[in-house]
Amino acid sequence: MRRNRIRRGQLWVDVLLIAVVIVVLFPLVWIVLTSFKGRFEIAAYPPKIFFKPTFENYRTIFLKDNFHHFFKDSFIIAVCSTGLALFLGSMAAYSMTRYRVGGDFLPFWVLSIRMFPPIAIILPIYIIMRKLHLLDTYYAIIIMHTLVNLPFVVWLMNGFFREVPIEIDEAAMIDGCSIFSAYMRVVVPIVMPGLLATTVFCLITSWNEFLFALVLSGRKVTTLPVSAAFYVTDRDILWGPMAAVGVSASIPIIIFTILIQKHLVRGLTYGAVK
Amino acid sequence: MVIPAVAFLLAICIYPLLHSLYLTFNEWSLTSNQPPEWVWLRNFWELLRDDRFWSSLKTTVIFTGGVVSAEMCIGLILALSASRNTKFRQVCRSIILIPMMITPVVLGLIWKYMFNPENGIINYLLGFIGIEGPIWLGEPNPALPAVMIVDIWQWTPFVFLLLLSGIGSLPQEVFEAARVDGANARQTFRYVTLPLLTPFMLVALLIRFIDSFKIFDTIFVMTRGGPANATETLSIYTYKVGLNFFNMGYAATLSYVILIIITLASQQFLKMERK
Repeated sequence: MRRNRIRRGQLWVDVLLIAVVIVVLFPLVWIVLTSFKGRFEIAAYPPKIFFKPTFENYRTIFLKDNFHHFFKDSFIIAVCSTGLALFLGSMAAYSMTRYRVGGDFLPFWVLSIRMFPPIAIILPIYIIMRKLHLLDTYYAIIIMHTLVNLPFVVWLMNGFFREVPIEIDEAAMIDGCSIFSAYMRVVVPIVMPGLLATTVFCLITSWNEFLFALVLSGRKVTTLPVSAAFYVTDRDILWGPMAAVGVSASIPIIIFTILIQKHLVRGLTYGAVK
Repeated sequence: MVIPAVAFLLAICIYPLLHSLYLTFNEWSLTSNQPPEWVWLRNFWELLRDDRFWSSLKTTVIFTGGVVSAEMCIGLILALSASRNTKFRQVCRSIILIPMMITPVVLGLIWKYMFNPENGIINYLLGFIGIEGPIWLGEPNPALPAVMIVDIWQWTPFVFLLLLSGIGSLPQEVFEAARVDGANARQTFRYVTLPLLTPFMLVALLIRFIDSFKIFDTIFVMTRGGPANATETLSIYTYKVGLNFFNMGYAATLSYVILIIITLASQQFLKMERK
């Protein structure tokens, strides 16, 4: 009797979960459908669910509006800022965990940068970049995205390094490695899975970042979110091409998300959970 | 090996913060060629009398309070009911991860499309249950709830997953002890699960508070703070003052207000967490 009741309860939970999944997926499915609709199908009321798919919107954005430029810019910025953040951040994390450089204060200080709103430094950054003539260049956005990612790398890598017993480094150094080569040849390979998850996280963060990219970009360099945001003008909203932009910008993210889903909660809560 | 990272953070983050602090005592318009003029605390005085500042503060507080409490409630209910793990639920979990990773700008656009008054799917679906949907993003009243719905949709899964991993890490012995002692389901929840889960809930609360208080992307894309400033949060207002009107001193003052509120509040959370 009792077991039956529990089983029925669990069934209701599954039904509830299915409802949640539908609510979550609906907007995404809807935008994918819209991206394959022609101009008249999009304007149709009531909205159509069955229609003849067309690639018109994708042709428009890539052939006419040259969206591949924005993809390229976003890609370059994401890769460079991730590389820079990983290089600086993992070294810092290594010496923080191994040699307790900076004690308790430094990790906490690095962490507090996650708390603060980007809007608080955007004005001076804008002024400085303007003075240095770095507005509308890759450098400006790469530097700012490195700033966003750096505390994150330090924090995550702190956790991963702590899981590696220090005896391993010591053994490497007894065998004649310097601190640096013990780090590069012995420790880094061990934390590789963690390092990869961190990398993917940084790539996504940079790919999604909007405020810095919005303020620092211009006619020559524009990331995807910024170009997408201005694709919708209020007078004449081009929903079809906009949907195509959204779908093509999201595909890399969805692939990456599935790759690192095991580490996702840890990554998203960084700073608040040890 | 710590030095490069620290030097980078000092140069790119701390220096601008100090520069911004200096700006708060100045009146400086980027569009004129005049150098910054030292005005002591006039910017703060202006802030106190600025209706638009108070209304954006109010909007931010309503937004943050609303979305955070909704996300916490729904997330907690889902996490508690789905704590038992099955293959099917793992698949569900992977799917609901997706919204929080997708570019916020793109999400804003998707929802703007679904909310559109001509043939938006939301009003169409509402029509089925006999409700005539409002012009969501075109009128002041429904606009704020509309942008809140997007945030709730995007971030409830995060609270859910965080609490779920919290429940998974709780020691099983305690629950057995409670059962042996004859506690019923409600008592177990009230006196065992809830206290053990509190640290995780505080973490979720802290992160969601910080991120929703500085919300910018989705609102910027969906409404730019309109209609009639109904969705203008502090971040959006600061952005407009600084980078549309180029009133640097006043914008710096506004940004410091955001910084101070977030710092004070998160310190409060952290104190609660340590207890």
